[in-house]
Amino acid sequence: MHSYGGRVLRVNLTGGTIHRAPIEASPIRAYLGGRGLNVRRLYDEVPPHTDGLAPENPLIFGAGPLVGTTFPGGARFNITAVSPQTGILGDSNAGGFFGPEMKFAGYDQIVIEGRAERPVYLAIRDDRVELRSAEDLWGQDVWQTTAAIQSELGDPDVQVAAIGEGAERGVRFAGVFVNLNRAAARTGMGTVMASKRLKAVAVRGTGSIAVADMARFAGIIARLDGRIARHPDYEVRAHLGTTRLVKALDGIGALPTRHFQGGPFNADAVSGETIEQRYKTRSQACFACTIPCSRFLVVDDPRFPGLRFEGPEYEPLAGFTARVGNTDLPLALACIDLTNRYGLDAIALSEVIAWAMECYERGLLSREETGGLDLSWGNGDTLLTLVHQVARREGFGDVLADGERRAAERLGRGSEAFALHSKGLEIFQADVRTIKAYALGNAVASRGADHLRAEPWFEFSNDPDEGVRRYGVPDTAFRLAHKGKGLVVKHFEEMAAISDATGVCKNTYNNMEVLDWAATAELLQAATGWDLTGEEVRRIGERIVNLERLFNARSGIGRKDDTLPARFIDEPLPDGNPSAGAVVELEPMLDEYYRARGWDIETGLPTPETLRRLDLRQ
Amino acid sequence: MQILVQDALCSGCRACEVACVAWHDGRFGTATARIRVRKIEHLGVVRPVVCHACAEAPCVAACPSSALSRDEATSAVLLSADDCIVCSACADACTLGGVLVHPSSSHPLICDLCHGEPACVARCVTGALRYGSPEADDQGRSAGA
Repeated sequence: MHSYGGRVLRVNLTGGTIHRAPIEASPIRAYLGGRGLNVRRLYDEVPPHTDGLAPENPLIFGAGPLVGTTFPGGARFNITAVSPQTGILGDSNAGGFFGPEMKFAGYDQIVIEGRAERPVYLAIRDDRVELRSAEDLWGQDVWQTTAAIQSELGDPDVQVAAIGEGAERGVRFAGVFVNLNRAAARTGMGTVMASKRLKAVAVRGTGSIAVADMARFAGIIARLDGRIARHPDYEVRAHLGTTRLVKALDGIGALPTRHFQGGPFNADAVSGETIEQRYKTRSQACFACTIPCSRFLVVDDPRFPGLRFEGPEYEPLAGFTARVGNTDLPLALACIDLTNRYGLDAIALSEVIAWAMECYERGLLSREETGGLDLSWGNGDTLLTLVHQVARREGFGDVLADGERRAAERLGRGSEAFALHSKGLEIFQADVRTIKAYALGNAVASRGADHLRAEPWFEFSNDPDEGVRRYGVPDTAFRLAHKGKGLVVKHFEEMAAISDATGVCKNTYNNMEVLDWAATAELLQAATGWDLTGEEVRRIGERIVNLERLFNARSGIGRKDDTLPARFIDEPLPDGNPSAGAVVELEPMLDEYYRARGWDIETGLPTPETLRRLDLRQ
Repeated sequence: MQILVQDALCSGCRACEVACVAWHDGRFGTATARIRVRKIEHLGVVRPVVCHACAEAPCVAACPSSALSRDEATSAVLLSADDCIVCSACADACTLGGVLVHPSSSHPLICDLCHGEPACVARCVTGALRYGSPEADDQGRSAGA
C-alpha cells in the first residue's frame, strides 16, 4: 500500500507474544492512519468503562501516510489509549524522529496489550522484534533510559520512546518522550505504559516507503516549500518557534498570570526573544522540516550547572513563569528540564502547582498541610521542590500527582471552583476569555481541555471579508467576538484531525494553513494513489471527530461535560487588561457548534442521520 | 567541487538524507543515504557527514578490486557494484566517515554528487550544505566530518 509501512505490530506483554499483520485497507481508507486509525481500533477493541490502568487497555502507537516523506514536518505520531487521568479518550502526539523510524521499519501501528511480569522494553529493528529486560532501567529518567538503550543496541540512530520515573510512580499525567525532550505528554499515556511495565519502545528501520507518484508528489512539495518560505510567520517561527507567543499573548492580555488572576507580570524577562538572546546556541527541527522552530539552549547559571536542552515550547515556558508568578527565567528552564527528565506533562504539572498556590493565597491550604512549603507566587525553591515531589509522589506532591480534578476533590473547601480543567484535563497557557474560538475548542475537545484539537487561528486574522467568504459571518475574524465561532471550530477540528491522521505538524497545516482541502487531496492522491476529493478528505476529519465523540459517549460524556471553569465564564477580565471585561459566552457558541456538527443540541451527541452520513452507522 | 558543510547552521532535520535516498532509490527512507547527520542529542551536537571527494582519495587507493573510480566531470567517487567484493577496505581507509554501508547488501555508499546537482544541497533550507570548491569557500569551512 503506497505511502504506508504496510503492517501492524501487535505485542501482548502478558504472554510475551508478538504478531505482525498486514494493515487493513478499509479502515485506512476511512481514517487514513495516526490518530484516526488509533481511535478506530480503540473503539472496536476496548469494552466500555475499561480502566486506564487495566492490562486490557491497549496502548496504540500510530503514524500516518505522510510520516517519513518529504512533507515539511511529516514527523508526527500519536499514542492512544483510555486515559488514566480523565477516564475518557487518551491521545497524545509528538514530533521528532520516532514516527518516521516506525514507518521505515515497516509499521504504521504498534498495539501493546497486557502487562509484563518484570520491566521490559520493546526493541524493533525492522523484522526483528523482541522484548528485552528493563530491570536495570526502571527508576532511570528519560535521558538515561534513551542513552542506555542506544548503547545496549549498539546503534545511536535507534529512536527511543521512553517513560521516566514519574510514570513509574503512578503520576497520572506522565507522558512518553522521544529525542529526550519531545513529549507525547497529554492524557497520561506514559502512565499507561508504566502500568504495563513497559519502559520504552525502541525502533530502527532500514526500509523505505514508496509513494504512488513520486514526480507528482515532489512537485507538490516543491510548491509547498515556497508557500511556507514566503509565509509572513516564517522568520519569527524559524527563530523563536512557539516561544514567540509569550510576547504575542501578553499583548492581548492572554498570559495565564498567577493562575489566570492577572496583575502585573514582566513578560520581557521570560520571553522567547530573551531566551534567544541569552541562551540559544542553534536552531533545530523535526524530521525533514523546513522550519527549524526548535532551539538548543545552553544556560549559564551557577545555580544550575550543566543545564542544556532542546526547547522549550511556549506551554512549559508560560507554565513555569507567568502561570506560577515566576520571572526567574533560568529557574523556569531548570523546572522544565526536570519535568522532561521525569517524563511529565508540563501543562498539567504547572496547573496543579498554580492551583495549589491560589489555594494557599486564599488560605485554603496551610503551611502544615504543604509539609512546610511556602506556596507564595513565584517561590523558586518551592517550584523546584514540587517538581521533584510530584514526580516521586512524595510529601505534598502526592496530592497533586493524581491530576487537578482528583486533587481538588481530595482537598475540597471550594477549591474545585478554580480547578482549571475540563473533563479532567488541565487547560493550556492562554486565557480563553480573550480568544473565543479557542475557548469553545477547549470545551468540546475530545481529550479534555485542549487547544490542539482545533487550533482555530482564523480568529486572529481581523479579516471580516474572509470571514464572510469562509463562514458567512464577519465576526469570525475577530478573537473577542463569539458569533460564528461554532463554524470556525468545526472547520479547524476537522483540519486538526487530518493533521494528526496524516502525521503532519499543526504549525504548518492548521496555523499557517499551507494546504486547503483540495490541495490536501491532491497530495494524498500522489502519496497513496487513491482517487480522493477535497470533500472526502474533510469528511474523514469529520468522521474522526464523530467517532471520538461516540467513544466518549460510552463514558457518559455529552453537552453537560462540554464546559469551562467558572473563572472564564463568570469573571470578566479586570480593568487594565487589553481585553478588559471579556468573558466566554459558552452556551450560544455550543448551540451553534452542535447545529453545525449535526449533533443533538440537548445531549450534544451525534444524531443517527449524522452517523449515517459519515458511514458510522448502517 | 564538493559538498561543503557548516555544522553550526544544521538544524538536524535529516532532509538531506531523505533527499539522497529519494534521488537514488525513488523512495523515502534514510538508511541507504550517502550523507548522514550525526548527532549527540544531549549536547546539542549536530554534524552532517558526507564524502569530501578528496583530491587524493584514500578509499579509491585502498580498493583491492578497482571498484571505485572518479567521475571526470564532477570528481565524485563512483562505485561499480559489480566489481565490489564488499570488503569494506574503502570505509576503513576513509578517516572522515564519508563511506557509509548499505544496510542489506553491505556495499559502500559514497556520495556521487548526483551528476553535479546534489539533491541534498537542493533540499537544505538552512544553508548548512552548499555545493562548491573549498578554496573558494569564503565561509572558511570545508566538508564536515
